[in-house]
Amino acid sequence: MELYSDTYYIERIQAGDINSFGCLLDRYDRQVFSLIRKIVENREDAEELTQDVFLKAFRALPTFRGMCSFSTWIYRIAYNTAISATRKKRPVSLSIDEYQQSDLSEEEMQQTSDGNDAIYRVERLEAALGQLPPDERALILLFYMEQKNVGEIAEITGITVSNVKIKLFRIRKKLFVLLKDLEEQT
Amino acid sequence: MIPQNNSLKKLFEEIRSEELPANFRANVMKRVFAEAEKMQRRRERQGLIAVIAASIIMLGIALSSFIYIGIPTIHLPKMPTPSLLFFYGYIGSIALLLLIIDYRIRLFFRKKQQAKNLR
Repeated sequence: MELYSDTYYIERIQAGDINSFGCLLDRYDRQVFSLIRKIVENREDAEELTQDVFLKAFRALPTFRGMCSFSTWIYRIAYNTAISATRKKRPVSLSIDEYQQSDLSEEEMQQTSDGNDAIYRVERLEAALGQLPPDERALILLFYMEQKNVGEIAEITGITVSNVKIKLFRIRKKLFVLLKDLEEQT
Repeated sequence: MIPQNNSLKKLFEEIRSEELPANFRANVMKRVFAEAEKMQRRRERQGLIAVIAASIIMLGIALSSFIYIGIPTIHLPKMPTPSLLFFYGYIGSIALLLLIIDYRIRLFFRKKQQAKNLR
């Protein structure tokens, strides 16, 4: 049971009670880590970046005015930190032709994700996610795994709502193409 | 615009999220406390710089008013006679002695308090 709201803890931290930051940390550390872990793929880097995210949040907390929820704010820091880290490394990402994506029908997409064995399906999904560029991976993870709505994703990533919708639509199709390819390979 | 694919949603839910190491919280809080101390020091430094800057500005204004405007006109007092000088010295030495005693007493009680806190 959550006793106090994020705002309560933020006010306490702003008043000088640093221990209250631990409560916010307990509330968001796993969510932030799981998102970063999926974006950067390396566990050690993800741990280090998650620490950096919370430290950045702590530094910027005196300027937090509550224009958005703390959750959205911390995800925005996490997204920017993780994307910056991946830009430094520049991983090779697979490019998928537009025609390949447009060939895929809704039924095929349904069948692809419905596949047979649950373990293999998850493994395939993780492999397909790994082949997406980090920013696209982050977007789809925020939508499906972190269950953020389009408006929240727009706030986190700093892109417009309509752009988020378009991007999500394209990424989803791309993901299905990758899943289909992986299914055919096995 | 975004087709709701429930099977994809379910598939994402099946992805197991990894656990953070046990010492993660302690490590972050350690860094947070160190950062808080650094921020406090920075604030103190900024405060000190502001006070010094304000003092310099005020002194500058006062000095410029002395030099350019010529107010107030300063009349230096006449030097005291030798007998009065002795009296002034006597009062000054008593004040200095009291100041030293006060400093020593404060130091003694502070040390006593610290020893009490450590116990």
